[in-house]
Amino acid sequence: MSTFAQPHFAAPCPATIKVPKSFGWLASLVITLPMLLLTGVLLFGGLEAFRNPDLLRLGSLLTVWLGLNMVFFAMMQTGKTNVFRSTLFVIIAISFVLTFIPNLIETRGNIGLTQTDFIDGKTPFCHMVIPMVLIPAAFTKTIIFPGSLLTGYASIGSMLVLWLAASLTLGRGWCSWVCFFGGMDEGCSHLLKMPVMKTIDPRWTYLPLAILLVIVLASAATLSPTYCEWLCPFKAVTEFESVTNVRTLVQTVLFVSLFVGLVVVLPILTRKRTQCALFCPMGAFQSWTNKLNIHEIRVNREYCSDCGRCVSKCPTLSITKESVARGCALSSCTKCGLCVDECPRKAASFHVKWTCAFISPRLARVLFLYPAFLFMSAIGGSMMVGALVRILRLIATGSMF
Amino acid sequence: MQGIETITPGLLLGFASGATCLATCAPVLIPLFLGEASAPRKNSILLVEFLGGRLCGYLFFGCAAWSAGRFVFNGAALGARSTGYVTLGLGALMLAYGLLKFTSLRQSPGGAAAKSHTQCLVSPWRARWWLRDCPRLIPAALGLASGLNICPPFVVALSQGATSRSLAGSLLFFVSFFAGTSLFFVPVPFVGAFRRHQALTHAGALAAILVGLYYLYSGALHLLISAT
Amino acid sequence: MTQIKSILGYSLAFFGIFAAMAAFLGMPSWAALLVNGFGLKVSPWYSGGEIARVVDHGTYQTGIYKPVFNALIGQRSVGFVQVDWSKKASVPAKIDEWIDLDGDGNPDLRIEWNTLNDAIALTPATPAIIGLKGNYATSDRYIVRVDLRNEGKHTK
Repeated sequence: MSTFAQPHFAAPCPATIKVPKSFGWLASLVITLPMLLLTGVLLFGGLEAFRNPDLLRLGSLLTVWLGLNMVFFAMMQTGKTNVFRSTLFVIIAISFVLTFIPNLIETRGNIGLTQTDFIDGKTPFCHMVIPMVLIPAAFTKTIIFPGSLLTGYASIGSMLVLWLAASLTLGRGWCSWVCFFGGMDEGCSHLLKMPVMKTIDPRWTYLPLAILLVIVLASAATLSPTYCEWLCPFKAVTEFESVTNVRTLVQTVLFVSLFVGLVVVLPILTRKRTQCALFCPMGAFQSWTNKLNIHEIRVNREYCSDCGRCVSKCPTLSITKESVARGCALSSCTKCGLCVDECPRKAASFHVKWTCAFISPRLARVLFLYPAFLFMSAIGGSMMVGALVRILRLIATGSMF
Repeated sequence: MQGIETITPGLLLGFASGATCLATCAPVLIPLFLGEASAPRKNSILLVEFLGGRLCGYLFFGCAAWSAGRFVFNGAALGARSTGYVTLGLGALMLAYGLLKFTSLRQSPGGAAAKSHTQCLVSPWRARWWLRDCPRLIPAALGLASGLNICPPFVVALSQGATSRSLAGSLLFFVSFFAGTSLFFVPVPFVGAFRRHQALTHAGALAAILVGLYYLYSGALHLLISAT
Repeated sequence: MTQIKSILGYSLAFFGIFAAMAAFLGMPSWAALLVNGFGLKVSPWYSGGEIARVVDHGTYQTGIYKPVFNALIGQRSVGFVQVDWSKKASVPAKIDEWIDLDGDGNPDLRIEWNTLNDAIALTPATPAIIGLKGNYATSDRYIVRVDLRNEGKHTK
């Protein structure tokens, strides 16, 4: 490997050894067994689910638990990451909508937020708010969000803990493994086999940073979460302030337009996750946590034929020709694993920083997939259980509630 | 206290155009750092001197804008309709500036030097030559020269300062504008700060467009309220 | 050195698995530690702020809050003050009360609120009162918010 292609932080490597990226049946089973146990603990919450047995819920829990672990086993056995991750990710996004909206209707009566809900602190805290609350929290020790600090559904404290832990362990892997919104534009990006719009000006990838800069400062200055109030496309499928005046009308039009444009139409036309790559300020924020995180994607220059497949396939425009020449992905990489799966010469692989590159890509992959899959199972799993319960209830009784 | 109503637009405006300010000042700052210091600590001291000079330039403009405003508007507070028109105009100016900047960046792929839409009243290079016998003053003088700078965001800041009711308000606005732009200078003393120059320039142009759109909305809302 | 860095790298990666488990299993404790450790609260612009005084009417109470002018640094020139009546079930259907915001013995405003048809009237008694910001019936109380000019005295 040339010194030019070797990033400064990588340890010098002995002669590159090509190793298989998948495991045999037995090894895959052995690796999956601890995951079976850990996801069991997280999903069942100890023995809580068995103490008060609701058959519908228990059945859904068992189904989701087994399903998740079968997917993990398949990841190990086939050596493929993205195809399984992407499927789960889309299912989780759909499950989120299927659980969140009925949940709001059950607890609040409707999905439209009123000032009374704000005062009551009944708004679930979402990770998109995190970049905006940090400066006001540092200056005023207050959280500029009308939620609950410690109690209730998606409390501020629990979401902050979750984000901290996920950022430390996954970096921007958050965007492909934890974020329950990301699966929506990812799902739409799979709808056409070939993109209609084949190129995106890479300069638009700076837009999330621009939005982040503006909203962080505007939120600090106005002491309100400006992104949630004005720009969040996912308000269209979660909750937004009831339309009572010109301001709320403008906001609602913006939410719906951004959702239709960025989450539905553009992903279909480009086969890219346009909301995540070209708009989401939380994604731009998470790119910085990638610097702290120990996992990354590396490209072995000895194997790479510069075919450009990873560049054209990357759903978040996080690999460029220049970054491939440097042997790595950009800091916006969400570690979805698509480039690793797609590379015809197996040049792209997961890598643990500071370790010798390309010596044990299987170990590096397992060490990343374990925490990533745990986060995905714990957060997405509970949503999948909730959605399955609602769907089964709808089939059995004709009502989701 | 005028507080947040004055600080908010100043900070927003400064933040939206800060990347551009950094990009404008980079040709001045990089040789300064390369020629006179290397350690982050010494670079930080140079930066503080540079920013101090810039602040003086901004305060000078704060006084000038307010004085001009008193002459033009005779100290009268603007009504809701006039505020709406002024805000619309500012928004259009910011939007045009952001679009122009972004378009010029599109024309120079690979992060090559973008077209400059700025013009310094006193050339930093001339300031450096004038002070060749007093090198200690050079960083502050360069900052002052960069502060006396006419670009669209600065024109917006001038007009905001001119409509301020008091001199303190105008100065506070310019200080917050300065604070907003200065945030972009913080990483400069550290290693590799200018490697992200291209990202900052693009993000700055796009942020100017966003703030321009916000001003347009805000102006339209003012007009709507005054009409009803 | 290379070996030490490799061991450190793999150890940190391995530690990630425990961090993920610990985050979920100890979630309530971590969250409480974070919130209490930093002394975090919900912004008074949403929560209404801290209660300044309670007027006891026997069956129900009137809560008068500290005015909210909080800015990122310093105070804003305009804010609001919250007044609430609880417990909701015991509050009379027609609220009619003079409110002394600053506790100086002189009433600052009068609220007349017919909670049955939601008709509400605000009578200011001091120039600091700008107008009604809103009235809300939550699950356990009736709340009124009044826009207020910051004259630097409503802070007792």
